Amino acid sequence: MSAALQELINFHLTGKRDNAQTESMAGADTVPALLAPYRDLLSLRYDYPLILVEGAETQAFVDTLTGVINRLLRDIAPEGNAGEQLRQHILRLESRMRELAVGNVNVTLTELWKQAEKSLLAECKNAEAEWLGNSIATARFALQIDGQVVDCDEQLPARLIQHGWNKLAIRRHETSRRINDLIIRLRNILKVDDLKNGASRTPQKLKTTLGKRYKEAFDFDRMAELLEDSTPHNRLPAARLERIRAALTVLESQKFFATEAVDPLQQKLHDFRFDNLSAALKAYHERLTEIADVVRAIAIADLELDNAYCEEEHSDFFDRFSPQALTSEDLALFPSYLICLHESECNTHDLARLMEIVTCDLPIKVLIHVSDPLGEPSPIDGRPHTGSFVQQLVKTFVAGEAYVLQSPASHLYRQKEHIQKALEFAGPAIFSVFVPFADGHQQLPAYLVAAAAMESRVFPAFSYNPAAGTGLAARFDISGNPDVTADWPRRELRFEDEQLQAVVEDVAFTPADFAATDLSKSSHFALAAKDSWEEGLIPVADYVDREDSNAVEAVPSIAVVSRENILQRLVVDEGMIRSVRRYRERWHALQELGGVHNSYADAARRLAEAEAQAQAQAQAAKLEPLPKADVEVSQPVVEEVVAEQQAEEADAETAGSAEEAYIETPRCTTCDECTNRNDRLFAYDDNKQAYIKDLDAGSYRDLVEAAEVCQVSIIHPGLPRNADEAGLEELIERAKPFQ
Amino acid sequence: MSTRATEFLRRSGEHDHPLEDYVGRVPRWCTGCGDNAVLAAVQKVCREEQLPPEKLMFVSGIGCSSRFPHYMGGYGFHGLHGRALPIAEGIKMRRPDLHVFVNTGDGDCCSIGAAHWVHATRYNMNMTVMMHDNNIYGLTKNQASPTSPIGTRSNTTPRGSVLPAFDPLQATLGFSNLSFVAQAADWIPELLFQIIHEAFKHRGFSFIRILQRCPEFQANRWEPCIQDPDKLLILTHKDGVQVSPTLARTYKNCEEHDPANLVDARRIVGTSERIPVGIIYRNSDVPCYDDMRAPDRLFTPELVKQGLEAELDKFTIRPRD
Repeated sequence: MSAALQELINFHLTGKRDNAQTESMAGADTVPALLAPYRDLLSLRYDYPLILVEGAETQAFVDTLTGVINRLLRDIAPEGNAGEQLRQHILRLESRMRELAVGNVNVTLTELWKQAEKSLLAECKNAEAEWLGNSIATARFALQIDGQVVDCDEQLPARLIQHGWNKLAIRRHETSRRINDLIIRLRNILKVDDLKNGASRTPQKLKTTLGKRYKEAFDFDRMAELLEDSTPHNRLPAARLERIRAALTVLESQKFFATEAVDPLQQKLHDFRFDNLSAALKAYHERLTEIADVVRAIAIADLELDNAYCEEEHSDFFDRFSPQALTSEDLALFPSYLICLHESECNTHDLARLMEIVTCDLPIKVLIHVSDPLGEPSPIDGRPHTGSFVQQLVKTFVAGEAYVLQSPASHLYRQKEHIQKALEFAGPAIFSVFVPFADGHQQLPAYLVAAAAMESRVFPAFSYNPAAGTGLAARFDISGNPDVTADWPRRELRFEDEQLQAVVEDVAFTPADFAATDLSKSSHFALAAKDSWEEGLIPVADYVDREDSNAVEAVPSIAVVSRENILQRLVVDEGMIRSVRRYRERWHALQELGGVHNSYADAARRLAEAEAQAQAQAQAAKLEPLPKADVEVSQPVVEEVVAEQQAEEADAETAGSAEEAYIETPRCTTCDECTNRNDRLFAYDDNKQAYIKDLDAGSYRDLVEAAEVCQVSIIHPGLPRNADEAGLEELIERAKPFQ
Repeated sequence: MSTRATEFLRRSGEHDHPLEDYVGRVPRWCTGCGDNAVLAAVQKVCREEQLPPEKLMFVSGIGCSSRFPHYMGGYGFHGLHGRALPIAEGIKMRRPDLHVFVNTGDGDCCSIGAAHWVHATRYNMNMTVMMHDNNIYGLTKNQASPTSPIGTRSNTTPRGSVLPAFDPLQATLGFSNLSFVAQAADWIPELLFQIIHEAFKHRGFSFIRILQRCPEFQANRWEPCIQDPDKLLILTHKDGVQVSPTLARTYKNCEEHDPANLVDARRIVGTSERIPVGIIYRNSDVPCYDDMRAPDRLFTPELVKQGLEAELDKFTIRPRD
């Protein structure tokens, strides 16, 4: 073993460097090799910047600049060469907009568009400026959306989630509208009742109601006298009036929703946006009584407006109605709460509060902004390790029914449907989003660092939707991650060797590669001199996969690229390798939850296969061949025979004996012919169809004549019961067609 | 949208509605009139669905059929000749919570009311329309109607009518935005009930032509069909009507017909030698005008005044400063 390799091994094992063989990574301005091609984000078209879409016309709450431009070009640029100039102009505009969006925190799409247009036109001359201006004007006319532009920075998670929370609060609008309608309709009831009051019919009041224009045209005294006689005096009972007034007062004074029926200056609404869990929980609990009052008032108003309120049955219920009686459907009518936190603001008490929110199914949405997923725990001040958030998030799957979404900022737009569902979800939702702070430790744009966190499994994306069905298979999703079935995503690294020959390596992206983007983690790395590369450096992914983890013939390394595009290798210390192993285990746990390499499923499948095979063999041994039937009877024939039998039985029930009179009641058309003839002999049943009510109430003649006039011939007179009745011979003859 | 408490309490306060809750005044139709069968069937549908009587609205025009609202327990609007449908549409727009039924006749619907009928079908507002087709103007004592068969002798056609009868089914199947057409016979109460029930359950403009007996002025019109069930063709389907085994013994001509098939519907109506009975066409995907134009808020006089003032302000002439 050479001295150089020995030195690298010493660094790997101890984390301390000793001589020029193990130069520090700090200040080297290197980035992981796989990320090097993307260093200049401005030359790429990707998901950022985002547009936080405004306006109620569109369902989407977020869009990308790239998506907006693509749709514009699809709509306005003709295909082929005819539209090529327009396309190029607009793509130039997009590129300029992307440049200007960096660090520009408070600008709308329209404003950004104008800034970019002005900037581009200033660079062009004469004809080119005119063509460019025309193209931009054409596209501007077709632009249908607007909203704040946000780039991938530390403000992104809070701005995006809050914007979505505001826009997607549909339930607020529905409940608000509902309360508005109830207020108007209750007021109308009181107004009508008031009009029956004598005070509303005085001459003075009538004059005021009619207005100035006609005051000379009417005799209001006489009008009051006439109205006194004609106006109904059936006023609402006092108890009902009081109940309606009480419900109306509660609805008008509630502070959860703005309603048009109430003067906005009089309304001071509750706030539902908080910066810490304690304040949010306190507000939620304090407002439960108010919520119960509003729910009670809505229920009473609904029943009163339908005239369905029954004092004997309902008053006792409402007297006892309290927050304990509130159901999740009732709570779903009210706005949810939003809390935006940074991980540094959370301590172990906050984790406990988070568990309370989840297990009690509270309508609270919590955003946790993670900026250092590799951060170390701080047992002194109780700040939990960021990784423990993941553990807690996973525990919520079992503990409660919370919507959980974890995503780095780079992947956030792709998760917009999950974000929307989580915000619309009636219960609690937890968003964990990673965006690094711009604190000088990052050598890459925040977007790339976030993407690296997901690639390396340090901050994988996953979602848990409790409303998606039963079981983890329906609810838990990790499909947004690259190479879901593998430990690490693998990519091709292409470079030239010293002989300028192309080389392709299959490289895995591990947490060590992610750590290399952060200068604060530079102590875990050391630059390896070129001549030591061949002798004992192996990729980190291969290193952790070794079966004999104690062997020390090789050291783990990652590939990085300098600012001058020179490939270099960094040796990784044992501390970082332990982290890599830890993240791999966490990824395996997520895979198992996501149904990938699920050990339980695999074991169950093997067991089921074995049992099925054993059963099949046992069945095969027992079976004897059946004798062949002479006649094969098909299922439809069987059904027809059964139906025929049932019909005969039904007829027999209706018919009775051939001598007795009967009516085929189900075929009666309610024509009144027979009932008009003798309504004691014939009557209608509950279906208003005729039957023979009392044979003794009429004669055989009644039966025969009814049979003759029955338009659908369903009366069957049978044989006469009274042999002494006159004209029987003729009647029996007349009855024959109906027997 | 309501609170859980409201739904629970409303259900606990409900009581079953017997048939009597849907009975109004004693009918004054002739004995043997097919309108009685329609009345009984509609009352049974209301009972089956347990419709609150205060939510029922029967709208009619003029004719024997149009006496219907008087004999139902619920609200009724006995309107002008031919104008039942626009009245019903107005009621439905203003009171979408009401169950609106329309009773019209062959003259009321296919003659003076024909224009309203065409466009009411197009609007596809959610209501159940029953056209009692007795092929005659009965209330006014025996004048030929658009559906009177050629050769019908009446007070206005003493030598027999000279024009072929108008076919309401063929016409309806040509209207745009159609969503439900059926034909029933008043003398087959089982199918009459089923068809009216399905028409009620369909969300949209459900049009039923009911072949109706008039014992006074068209005593023999449907007699051949009543005496010879083979003259009818019962259209069965899992999305249409089903025939009970008892009925199947009498009415043996049954044909499986998918109501979603418009081409087949037109074929049956246009070419069949037998009279089809059943659901001829049904399309649940046609949007309803009342859904499309439902206001998103309650209108108050103040709101209307605000809107009017805003519009009129646009025409205000202001002196130049």
